Amino acid sequence: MKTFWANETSLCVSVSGQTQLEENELIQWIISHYPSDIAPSLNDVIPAYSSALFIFKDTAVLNQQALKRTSQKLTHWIESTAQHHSTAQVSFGHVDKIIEIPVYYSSDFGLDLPHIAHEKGISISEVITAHQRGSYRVYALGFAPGFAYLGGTPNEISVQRQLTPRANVTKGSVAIANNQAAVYPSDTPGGWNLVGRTPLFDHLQSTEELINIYPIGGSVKFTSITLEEYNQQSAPEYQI
Amino acid sequence: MSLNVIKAGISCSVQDLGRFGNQHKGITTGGAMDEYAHRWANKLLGNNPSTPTIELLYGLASFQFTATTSFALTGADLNAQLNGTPIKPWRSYKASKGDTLSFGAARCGLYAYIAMPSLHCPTQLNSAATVTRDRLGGLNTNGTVLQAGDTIQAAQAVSRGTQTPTSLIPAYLQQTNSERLSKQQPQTIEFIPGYQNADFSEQARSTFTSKNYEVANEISRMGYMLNGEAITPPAIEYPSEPIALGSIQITNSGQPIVLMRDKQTVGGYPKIGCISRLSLGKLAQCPPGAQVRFSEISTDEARTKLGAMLSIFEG
Repeated sequence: MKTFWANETSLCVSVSGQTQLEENELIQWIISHYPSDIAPSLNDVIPAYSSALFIFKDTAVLNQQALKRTSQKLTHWIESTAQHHSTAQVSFGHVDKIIEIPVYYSSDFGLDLPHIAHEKGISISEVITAHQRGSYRVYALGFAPGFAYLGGTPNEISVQRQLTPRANVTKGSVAIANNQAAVYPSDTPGGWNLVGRTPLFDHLQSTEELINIYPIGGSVKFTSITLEEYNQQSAPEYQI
Repeated sequence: MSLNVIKAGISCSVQDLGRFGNQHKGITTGGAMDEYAHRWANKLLGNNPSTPTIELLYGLASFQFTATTSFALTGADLNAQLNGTPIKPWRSYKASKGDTLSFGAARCGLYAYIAMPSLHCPTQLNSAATVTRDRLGGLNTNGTVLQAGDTIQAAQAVSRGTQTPTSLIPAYLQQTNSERLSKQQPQTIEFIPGYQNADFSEQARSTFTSKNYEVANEISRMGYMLNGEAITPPAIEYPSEPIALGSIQITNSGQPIVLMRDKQTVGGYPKIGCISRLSLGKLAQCPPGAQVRFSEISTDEARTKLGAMLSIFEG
């Protein structure tokens, strides 16, 4: 475990030496169980794969001794929790909810299917089958509202992100990068490899709806749908 | 009383100190790009620091007052005029009913702030900060920037004219943009080493602090790209991790991107550290083509400087 101050008020905690799943479970346990008397000193807590950022309120810098006391208390608590986790092999933070994401897999939308197949020396249909076989977990939320980092992309289709991001990736695009998978919740620039498109997000407009799609720690399954099913479920502007 | 937007210029948006408590859901904070100028605009009118202000990028905008009231102007010098008479930033003024406040092009810096007595804007998730990407904040509560025809509500109050003491006006806003671009004297940007700093080679770290970097044309409320001698990033793939305000990402091509108020909450590029909070406002005011030089600072020292800045606005 390592802690460092990223800036004046942001304490970063990262864990290592375990599987990505174990590290992520530990991080999720930490952010939901840290001592409650520290919470009033914080503006935000951001978890990711194997690290979390505890962002203190600006006023904390006005009393640096108190800030050091509070942050030391937090660090000690995290150290002892991490110790307990690694020795007792306790499994933390499973969420039962499974989100099913219907995907129309096709080279029209999945612009990188040919590239992935070529790089891995398999057929496009094998890429599609492998993508659905993956068992995905919500490791972190971020990048943009409604964007979830889903771990669990099988090694046989794992490829690096694009060298240069695309200037625009269409909302609903399903993508992979290394062992991660994601769905682009809105039109944004993006550097992940596109494998298909889901109509699931087409009818979600508000930020409040988008940010509540995925529970952290929840499971995700991708299932194949036909072009006809895609067109039935998607918004008119995204149909083909 | 209200302030009517006649012309929105390059981009005007409602900002405050930011939207906190939702970054774990991917909601960024937004907030004033030059926090110090935002705070002064409010202080000159006796407003709370968290009162929203109008943030103007570059200028070319105009507004009309519907009643007699005080207002304050801080930050960049955007060649402001009140009814055609030039006025200086870092002061409060009295406007009469029907008066026009107009802006030319940026003379010094990029971001200016207009404060009004108790300026009112609806809040979402406890903040009025406009974040277009998140579709949150602003007058329409959907992240849209101000448009001609918009009306900003404020209290009607006239107070004695006030001004920021000259010693407290940032030096970097006293040099015009054209002087800055012609002299090419770099602005010092202080940074706290952190994140993957130790994974960079000694040569990469030395390049980062010994060479000038030029502010690119690609600058936004989300991030400022810089160009200069390439800083070789570590040959390691890092899992995506939480992004602190001011993070300095080094891209695959070795160029730095400093993440500003509309930063993404999580990201995967290696980071060599974070710029200090005071340097964040300084960098925000640098136009494309300006030179910067990174200089290391300890966390304690950066905290002391931030504390001193915040103390101006306490009480």
